[in-house]
Amino acid sequence: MSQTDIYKIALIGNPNCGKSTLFNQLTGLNQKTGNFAGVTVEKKTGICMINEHLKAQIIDMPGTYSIYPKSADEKVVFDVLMHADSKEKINLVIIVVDATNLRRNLLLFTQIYDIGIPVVLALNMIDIAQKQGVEINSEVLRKSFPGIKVVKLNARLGTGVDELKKHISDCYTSHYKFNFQQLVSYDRSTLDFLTQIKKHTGIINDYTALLVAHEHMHMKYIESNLIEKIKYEIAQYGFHSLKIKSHETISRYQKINDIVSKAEQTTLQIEKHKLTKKLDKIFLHPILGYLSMLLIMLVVFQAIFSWATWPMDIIDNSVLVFKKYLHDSLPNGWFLSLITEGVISGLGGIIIFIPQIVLLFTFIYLLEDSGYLARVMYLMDEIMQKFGLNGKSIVPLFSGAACAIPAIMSTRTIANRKEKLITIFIIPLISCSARIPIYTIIIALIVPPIPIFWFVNMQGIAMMCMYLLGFVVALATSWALKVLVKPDEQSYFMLELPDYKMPRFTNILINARHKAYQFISGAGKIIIVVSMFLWFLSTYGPADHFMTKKNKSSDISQTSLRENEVQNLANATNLEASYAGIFGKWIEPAIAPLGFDWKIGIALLTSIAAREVFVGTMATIYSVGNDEDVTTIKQKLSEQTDKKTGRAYYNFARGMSLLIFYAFALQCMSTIAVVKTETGSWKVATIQFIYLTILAYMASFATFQVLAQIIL
Amino acid sequence: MKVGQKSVITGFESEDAIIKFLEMGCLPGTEIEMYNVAPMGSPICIKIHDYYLGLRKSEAGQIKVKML
Repeated sequence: MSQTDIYKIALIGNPNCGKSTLFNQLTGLNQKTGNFAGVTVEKKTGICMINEHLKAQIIDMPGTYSIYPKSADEKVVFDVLMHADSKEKINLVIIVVDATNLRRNLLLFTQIYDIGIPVVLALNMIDIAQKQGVEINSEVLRKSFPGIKVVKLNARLGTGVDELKKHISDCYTSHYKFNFQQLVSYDRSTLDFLTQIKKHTGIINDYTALLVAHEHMHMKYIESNLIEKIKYEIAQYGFHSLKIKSHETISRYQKINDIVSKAEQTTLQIEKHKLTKKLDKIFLHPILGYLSMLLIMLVVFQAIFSWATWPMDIIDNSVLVFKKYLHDSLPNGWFLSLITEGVISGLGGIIIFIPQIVLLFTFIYLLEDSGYLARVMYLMDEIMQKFGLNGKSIVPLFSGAACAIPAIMSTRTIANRKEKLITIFIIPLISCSARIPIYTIIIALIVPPIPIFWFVNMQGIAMMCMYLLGFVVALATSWALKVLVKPDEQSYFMLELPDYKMPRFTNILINARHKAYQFISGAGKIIIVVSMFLWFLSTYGPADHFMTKKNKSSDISQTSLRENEVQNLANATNLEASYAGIFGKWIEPAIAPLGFDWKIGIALLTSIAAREVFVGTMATIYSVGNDEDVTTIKQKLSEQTDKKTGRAYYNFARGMSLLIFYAFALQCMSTIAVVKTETGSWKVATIQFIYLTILAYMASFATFQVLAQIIL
Repeated sequence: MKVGQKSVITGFESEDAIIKFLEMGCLPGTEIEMYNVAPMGSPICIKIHDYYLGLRKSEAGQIKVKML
């Protein structure tokens, strides 16, 4: 069996049905991620050995309640079932249902059943159902839906997975013909209409034809003349999509009710949701609810910013050691410089954030898996709505404090386009971890460490103010957007609050690892390319200009400086003579009103790859050398004097101006690229970039001008 | 409806949102119980078909009910 005709199995089910747990159970670490063709919806696939001979590809589909899509995520499920991409033709569908909530879960099942794709019905969380005193007779289900296979599962523990695999291999070997009977019947006129649709499209199945009639507007893969024909028939027969859908859903529920009341047997009368009710008394309490939410957020923040420091230090040091090793073992020259300063520095700038991202998502998945995250969205929806956002925006905004890239990717669950766009738009205003080094060094420079109380000092307060500033401006921006942008569809918030349960740690770790991978592939490529380009700009300059400066630096070496100081000084002069230096000087008139000189101009340019590069560039410009130690740089910067006044150059006004600039400016290529892919066009990315740049410029301008007047 | 009160769905105010309700199991004739009202009065959470569904007050207003 070749790679192209590998046996393809799709996992489909409602949100919270344990589908991803089953996916991890079947594929382990054998997972790959990509995107579904043409859309940014993430596609998780994995290989599973069904038996010694059969290798199957498992595709984890986004969770959905119905086959009729409401968001980009759900649209993918529809498209895959419609075989939109002939390369992605699936052979078998495993429909995972939550056995404790059979009725609602079976709706999607009966819809997919009616399409006529071979299905295995996996009754997951069967253990919980049994504990609640509910026994499910799978024989009744099998008979009610001729052709299907039924398996009882506890995906968390893996019980039933072997039986599931056996069913899969049976489906494969018997080439089994799926004999199904459609569940819903339609009136004469609808049937005639469907006959016409079938004639035009060549579809045999009634329900598939009906789906095409309902959704043809959103099926880009249908030829346009066929769409015209469908539109014609819709007008001819007065096909009322909404009415037919309601009729269909109601008849399905009626059928399901009949079947479930036969299949389910309540053996014991046990009070259900006991734990959930108890915990909700705290977590949904008007005061305790918000308090505990704050407390949990505080713990997560603490973890991201303090626990993550030691793995980050290890990474930082390893990168330095590796660079040193390369310096010692490779011949000196442009190649060495490209590898160490271009590639390795770029790579280092990415992997340094992995600990924070893994930690953040470990927590987010922990909260999600336990059932708590839905409560946060529930509690926040009303507040978020006032700012044109959705309760579901809270997770992306929260993630933005670590890194904008995974945060923007996690807006996919927001169904409403306007709310999703506003969320994406304001995420870069949330101070991400790449700003920490900049904030740290500048705050250390301009704010004295005066103790306030206990372990908090003025510098800590200043740091917190920077985070608050970003958050407040983010909310103000979204409020303005809410007023400005016209909604194109009705916003809604319908969210299942699942029962609380013990999270599964392997699951969480697999998912967090996956997020880290997503971050590396999303940001990594761009950062490396940009950092190589910036390496070129800061290493080379126009030939003649460059040489005179170089000579100047060798003149200096005649004097009695120590060797490494000579090297540092030479680096600084080289940078000044490079294209980056020329850029810095060229842009100086424009940034002078903000209190910036050409040296800062260079740092503004180089930190486009990633903001934290600012610190390294400042170190080079002020010839601190490779030692990017904060205290050394801080000392060097504080020694700089303003030629006109003779006072310290990095005064309060200038420092504040820099802080404000970095809080607002979209100094991150990867973010721009991710916004482009997530929104599908350059429009939002461009507007966002312009807005944030103007905002940063104006705010810095005002800050510097006002402060420079007050404090002289 | 107050928390803990039960009622039965009788219909919907408008046709537009009806399909989402139906898909979530909110069918005419189904019993619902008010489970929680968020501190700001919205969203609210109802218990239906033995699961908890959070929805905005404005959305919930679309559901017509008969008190039990």
